[in-house]
Order: sequence, then C-alpha cells, then structure tokens
Amino acid sequence: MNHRSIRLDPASCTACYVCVRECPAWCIQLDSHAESTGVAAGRRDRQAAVLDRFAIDFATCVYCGICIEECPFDALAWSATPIAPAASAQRLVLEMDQLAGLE
Amino acid sequence: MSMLTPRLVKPDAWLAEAQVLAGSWFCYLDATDEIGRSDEITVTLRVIPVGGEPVALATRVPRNGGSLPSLSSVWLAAGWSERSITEGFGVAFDGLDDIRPVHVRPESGLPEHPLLKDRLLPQRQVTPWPGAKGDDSRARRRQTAVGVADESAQSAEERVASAFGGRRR
Repeated sequence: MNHRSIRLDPASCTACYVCVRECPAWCIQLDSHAESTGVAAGRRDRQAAVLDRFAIDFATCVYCGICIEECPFDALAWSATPIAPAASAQRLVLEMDQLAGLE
Repeated sequence: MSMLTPRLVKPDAWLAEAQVLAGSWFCYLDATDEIGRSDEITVTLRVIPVGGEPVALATRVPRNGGSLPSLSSVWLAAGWSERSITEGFGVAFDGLDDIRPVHVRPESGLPEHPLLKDRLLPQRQVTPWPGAKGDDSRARRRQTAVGVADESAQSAEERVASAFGGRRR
C-alpha cells in the first residue's frame, strides 16, 4: 500500500464532518446541504445530507491518515497516485471529482 | 528500546548530580511544561556512561522565573540545549553566557517562550476552523477545534484546558 494521496468515494460520504474535525492540519473543506428523502405516508419528513464540495489541500496535508482511520463510512482511502507538482499552492487543492478519480 | 524513568533530583543538587556523570556521552537535555499537573517545568537530562547503561535525571523548577545552574561546564554541548530551553520555556541557566535564541526569529510574530503550553499558535486563533461549518443545533457536543482557546479563558491553566482538554469533535 502506497500513501501518496487520499481517494474519496463521494457515494459513501455522508457529509458527517468527522474527517474535517479530526484533521490536525485543517486541510479538508466540506460543504453540504440537507435534502428531503421523501415523505412516506403517515411519517414525518426525513432529511439526508448531500455533499456539495469536498476538497483536500495537499499543500497543508501531513499525510497522517487520521481522516482515513476516522471515517465511519470508509469513504476515504489511501491512494498510490502521487499528487502532481503544481506551480502554485492553490493548485494542490484537489476537489471532489479529482479526489474520486485517484487510482 | 526500553523506557527509562528519570530520577528526580532537587534543583540545588542538579549540578552536583551532573558532575558525578562527567565524562558520560551527552544525549539530550530537554524540558516539559507541567501545567495542569503542577505549576512547574521539568528539565530532563539523559547521558550514557562509557561502557554503561543510559542514565536520566530530571528536576523541576517554577514555571515563572525558574532557574538552574548551567551544565555547560560539564558538557559543552549542554549549553546549546540550555539556550533552546531558555528560548522555549523561559528557564534561566546561571553561568550560561550565550542566551541568543536558537530556533525562532524575533520578527516571526510568535509569542515569547513558544513551547509553554498556554502559548497557542497565533495563526490558528485567527483562521476559521473548517469543522465549525457542519455545526448544527442538534449537536450537544461543543464544536471547537484543538489548539484554539476559549475567549473566556483567563488564566494560563484555563487556556490550556480549553485548547487541549478532552477530545472534541
């Protein structure tokens, strides 16, 4: 297993914010909103969090793996794909689709 | 490697105890802030006598205005570690001439004696914590970040307890 980057499975993520709060480097940004999952007859409305944005700033990430360990839904995993060198620190912020595309 | 519990000695006996070990290999001299347990700083020395087993000595000095005799007459290299402890923890070493800071430049904006536990990272106090965003009113747990003190904390103990006490999410 190579620890070169962190892959996200957006389908597994429930936007619970555990990784964001556990991250010692504060390098994860997450946005979400609540959506109704549909009201069954005679039941009250149920809401589910929907992921809007998930970004990891690999300029500040220390590769400690705490987010991977703590994720209750196994939405994060180590990836063997190295982060490409970038001309600016801003480009080391990988957004949801980029994180999902890591091998 | 096994753990070696340092033998605690009185600050008065610090130099004499070290002189007994003169000629040993000097490993390190370091300090720990004991805030929350006592209002003291623990200074720890580790040496290895030639052909012998490692020896560790420790002593405790007051957190404010503590001082110890310098061990630089026993091990010249100890003076470097003492400079580092003076800078980080504010412990004075009698007989140490050179007390220029080793690690942090004055223009860095870090608080004085940055290794004391109540000196929190200034950047962390002003940066918005990403974890605060998911805060919802149903959460009973306090939503604060590690390393950020409560603004209401007055004393050094309260600042440290609010920044590092307990495990919060």
